[in-house]
Amino acid sequence: MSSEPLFEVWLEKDRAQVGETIAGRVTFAHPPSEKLAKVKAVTIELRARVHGSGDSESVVGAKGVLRQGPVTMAELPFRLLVPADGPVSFQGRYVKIDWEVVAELDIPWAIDPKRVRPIVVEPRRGS
Amino acid sequence: MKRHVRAVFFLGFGAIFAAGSLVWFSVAGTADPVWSLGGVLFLGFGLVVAFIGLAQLLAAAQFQVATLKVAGPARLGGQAQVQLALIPKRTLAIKTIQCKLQLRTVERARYSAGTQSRTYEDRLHESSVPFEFPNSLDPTGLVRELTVQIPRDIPPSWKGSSNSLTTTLALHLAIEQWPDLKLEAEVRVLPEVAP
Repeated sequence: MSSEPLFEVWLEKDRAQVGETIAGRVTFAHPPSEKLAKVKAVTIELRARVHGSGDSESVVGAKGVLRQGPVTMAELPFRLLVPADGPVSFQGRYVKIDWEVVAELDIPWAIDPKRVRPIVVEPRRGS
Repeated sequence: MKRHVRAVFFLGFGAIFAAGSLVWFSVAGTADPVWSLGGVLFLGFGLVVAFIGLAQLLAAAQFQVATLKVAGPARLGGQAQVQLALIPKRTLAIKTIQCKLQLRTVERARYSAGTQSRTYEDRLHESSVPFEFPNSLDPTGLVRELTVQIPRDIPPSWKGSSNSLTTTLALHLAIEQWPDLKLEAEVRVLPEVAP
């Protein structure tokens, strides 16, 4: 049994300003395992997780399907747009806003594996 | 919440407590006179709440126009254009030493479970906006265009369903022998730093 992870998410940078694009890629185990052949879809999502002392909520910044059907390639590139109106990352006493890129494999009759990469979203620098 | 709605809410709440005290007096007074002391507490609380509501209505009743408006969104480190208009119905003496114009940024989180809810609030920033309050206001009124500096280190405005980061401009006008006038205007701070 291989200990190599099924897939991984790589980002070009882990900080972005609002309105910017985040580029990255999802890489898959090579050679493709039997599990990857069963994949129905590969999805990617950029979201802000708002948590802390209040009720948790989530802001979806961008979402997309990278591929429909079994994974046969070594990697899938992606680009996600950070919403221009924020929110920006914030760590307060009661409110915390954490941005993250989440990649997920949709595998029928199995727990969908996912990878989460945190990023920091900052205000745009004026010009 | 609008000032009038808030005032009516306070008045209604106060009236309910005051009415509750009458029921308490009639029931407890016949059983044991000592128990009727509880009615005094009810009545006292009801009157205080009703007075808060009444004070807000009275403060606004002295003015033909009392508005604080922010022209548009502002950038971090930028400026917000604000219009303050105070036109009283009669000449009012102002306690300038107690008057304040403040910029506040607050983080707010609401937690709810079943029928219970709780709001957590933390003030992230508070600063006084330079403004020279007059000693008196006459019916010709006071209309001023103000420029308010927005700090660079506050979080931009954001509102979710249970969490929010808001910046407001709050005016506290202390009127001689009359309830104080309080006005608030929200400043929408954009997630953009001014050059």
